[in-house]
Amino acid sequence: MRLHLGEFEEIVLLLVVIHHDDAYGLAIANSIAEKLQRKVTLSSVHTALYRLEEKCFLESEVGGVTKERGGRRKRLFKLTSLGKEALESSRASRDLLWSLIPRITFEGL
Amino acid sequence: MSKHPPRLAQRFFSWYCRNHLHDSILGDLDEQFYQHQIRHGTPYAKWQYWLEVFRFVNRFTLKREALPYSHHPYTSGMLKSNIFSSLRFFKKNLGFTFINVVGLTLGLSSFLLILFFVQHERSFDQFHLNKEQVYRINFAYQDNAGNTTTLVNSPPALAPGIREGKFPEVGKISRLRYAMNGLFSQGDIQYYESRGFFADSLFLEVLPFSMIAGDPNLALDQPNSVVITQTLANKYFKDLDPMGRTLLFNNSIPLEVTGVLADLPSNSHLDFDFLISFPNYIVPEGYASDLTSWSWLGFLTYVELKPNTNPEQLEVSLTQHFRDLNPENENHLLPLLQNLSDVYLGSSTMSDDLASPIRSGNRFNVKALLLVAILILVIAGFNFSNLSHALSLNRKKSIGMRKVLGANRKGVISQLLTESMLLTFCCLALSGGVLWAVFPYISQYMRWEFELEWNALGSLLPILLLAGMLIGVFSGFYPALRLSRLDIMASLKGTSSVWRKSPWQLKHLLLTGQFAMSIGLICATYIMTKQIHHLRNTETGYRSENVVLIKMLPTDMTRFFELYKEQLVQHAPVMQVSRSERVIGEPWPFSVIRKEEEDTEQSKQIFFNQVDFDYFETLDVPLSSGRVFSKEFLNDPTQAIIINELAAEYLNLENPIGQRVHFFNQDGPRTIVGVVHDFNYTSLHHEMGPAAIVLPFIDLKYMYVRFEPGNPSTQIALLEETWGQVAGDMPLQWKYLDDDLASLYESEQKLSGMIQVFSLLAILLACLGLYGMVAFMISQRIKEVGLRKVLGANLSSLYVLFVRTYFLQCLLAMIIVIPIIHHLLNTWLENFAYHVTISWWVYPLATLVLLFMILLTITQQILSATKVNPTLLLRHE
Repeated sequence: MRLHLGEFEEIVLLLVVIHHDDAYGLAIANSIAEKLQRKVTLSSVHTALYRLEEKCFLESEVGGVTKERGGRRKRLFKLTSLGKEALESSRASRDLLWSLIPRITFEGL
Repeated sequence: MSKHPPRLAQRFFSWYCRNHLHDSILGDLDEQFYQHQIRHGTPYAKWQYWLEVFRFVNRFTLKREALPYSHHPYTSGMLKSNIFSSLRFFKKNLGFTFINVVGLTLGLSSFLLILFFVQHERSFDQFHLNKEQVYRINFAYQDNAGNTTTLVNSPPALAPGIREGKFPEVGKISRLRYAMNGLFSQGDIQYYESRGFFADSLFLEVLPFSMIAGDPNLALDQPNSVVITQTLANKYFKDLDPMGRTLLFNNSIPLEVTGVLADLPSNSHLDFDFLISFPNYIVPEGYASDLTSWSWLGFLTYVELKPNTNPEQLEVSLTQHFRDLNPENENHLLPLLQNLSDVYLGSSTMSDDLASPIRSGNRFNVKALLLVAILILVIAGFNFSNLSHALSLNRKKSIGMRKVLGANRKGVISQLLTESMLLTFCCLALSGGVLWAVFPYISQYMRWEFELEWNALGSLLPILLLAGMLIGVFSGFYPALRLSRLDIMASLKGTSSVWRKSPWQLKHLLLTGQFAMSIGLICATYIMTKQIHHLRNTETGYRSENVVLIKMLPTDMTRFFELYKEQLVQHAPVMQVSRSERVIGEPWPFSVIRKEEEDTEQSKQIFFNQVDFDYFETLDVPLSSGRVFSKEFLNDPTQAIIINELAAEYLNLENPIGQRVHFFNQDGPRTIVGVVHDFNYTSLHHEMGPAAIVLPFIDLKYMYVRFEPGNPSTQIALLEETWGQVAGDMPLQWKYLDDDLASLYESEQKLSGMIQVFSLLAILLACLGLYGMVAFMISQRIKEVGLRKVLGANLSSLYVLFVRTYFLQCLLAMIIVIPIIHHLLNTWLENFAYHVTISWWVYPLATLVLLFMILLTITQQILSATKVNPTLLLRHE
């Protein structure tokens, strides 16, 4: 159970990996809105990030200053090895389930 | 419209989010705001910003985090260091610390002492395990004038009547009749015992007092049995085992000792030494009532209800029962059930028709004392906190230093709190010691009957700890908050000001509060003393000085009185001798009276007493018209009656002399032969009522001897010697009437004594606090004094400068306290039928007294400070 990921958590975790060295709250929220056409609030993304950090799937550090942020630093998130394991196990379990689907039932629809 | 993110929302966010997340979240919010602004316009962006700020309230943002370098302030190492630095600080300010400790210790020990007393008062009868179910049945009646009187007494037929099963709620019931003046003898040992009852067989089951020997269920079952206390057993039987032995009662009835009770605890409202089985009670000859009466209120009745029954239900059915007994009479007796727990404190307004040995407290007194205790504690607490505040001014530098060395705010606060807690709990421990040392003296002075029990302290412990915590925190926290906020550099340079220069400073408020309490206490002390004085000096209408009161068995009285009187009056110092049924100060019984021409329905209730010839001369009650009883008129014993002036008014008699009335439902009318001035025959708690006096129709038990003013010891010697000639070696029980009357006001005297002592203490405490404050203030302003002197200020203007504030505070305090204390005192005075009125000048006078005491406290300090050569003052530091 320690490696379990919620659906939204998994998306956020994946996006942290995608954004690589510029993974901060707003960037991820924007990506979800653009790439997945899904409305999210900034606070829910942040909360998810903090929860993942709490579970040690992510770690964070304070990044550089940018002008449009009123001089405030970004909190940049990075995947930990445990996070990577969680993503992999999540993907593996999904693959496993996909492979178990009998061809007939799925294609017949 | 501003293009900036809404500042209020930002501020709100910064207010609730105070951890490492703050900056990055606010950054994201701002960035998102600008993106929204470009795409959707400013209003939308602002709206979203606000929504987000609210959505961000969650456990991550609300969590407070310790700052990077902070550590938990209360590790044991820190505690040790805090305690050390506190001790060092105390040592440095030894004088002020001493004042603080003395004041708080005094306050706490008085608080403790009063708390003990109050706890004892409230513990009455709580030792009976069945206290929830035991009730006393009191009775209220209304006279024709509409006054309701409540008595603790009940009629004799009540207990047997209830036993018949008409009232299913009742488990057990028992009645008591006061055995006034029993003469007990065992061999040569012979004493009058006045503290005992005739008791029904179930009594020791309803009120299970602990027994050393004998069976509580059987002890009083047989006639001619007696149960005595340990003390009495020792008195009559010495080392012998009293069980089964015989005590001769009133020289005629042999009683078998069937039980020995442990001495009754001092918190039992019944205070007796012996119980005699009820069948031995014989109604005195001549009484109009017998034991089947439902209207003779002369007994005490206790019931134990069955578990889970409703006392109100019983009260209702009893009321109905009394209504049915006498359906025509609207003024039937009204039974009132009183729970055992309420009997001691709740009966102060009820009279006891018999003056039986019942202890009665006064709830108001207990509350008043508790109030004084709390005031003392508050005053002591205020002192403590004021001085701590003032002293903390001295510590700006040390706090600054601590901060330089890395202390944070929490550390500073915890250090200052440690200090005040340490002092408070030291005082708490000290006050326990003080209490232990002084309790014996105080309890002797107050005539308290209880011991200091340390397990009682156990139950007070939570209150004490709470009080200690409150004082400690209250006095430590405020200066701690202020000092910990100081700027480091400023505090090290000594330039920062800790205190606001506003008249609403906490210390001023506390001082004013103290002054208000002191004024209140001075007023209360004055009014109470005046009231007690008033009670003892009110014109009673009779003269009690030089009168000796002798109590005797009614049978002995009848046997010896005439002879004794004859012998006594031959001696020169004896002026008059007489006797009566009720003594002055005792409540008088009431009966019915009507004019000859009126019907029985028009009868009115009237108080009465039976007295012998020469009664009015002995007590010096003046006659307003007619004559007193006289042996020359042979019909006087059955046909004459004397009334007081109130009674003449009550009966609407313009010319009472010679009028005929029916009295006590006795055959034949009596003629009013005299009218006496009103005299207060009961205590001054009660108003005088209409009263009738007749010659005796039963055996009397009180005898009065009026002497010429002279030496009491020769008076008593004369009495005893003559008694020896008349009655051989029978004991004689005498008492001066003055002493007997003084005991009526004993509880008021005790209360006023206590309040006086503790008020004085409270005022002294307030002065002590003020002394400390002023001493400190002057030491702070010593440079100012020097400068003012250099610039030409003279002594008196400096004096006024320092005193002015206190004067104003005193005035303010007076204005605050007047309505409160006026209300409280009036409530107390309403307890008395005859009371003093509170004059308006009492309040300014009390304020003046306080002001005088304040000046006394501070003048010397101010003068010594201002007399010093200014150059010396200016060199200070």
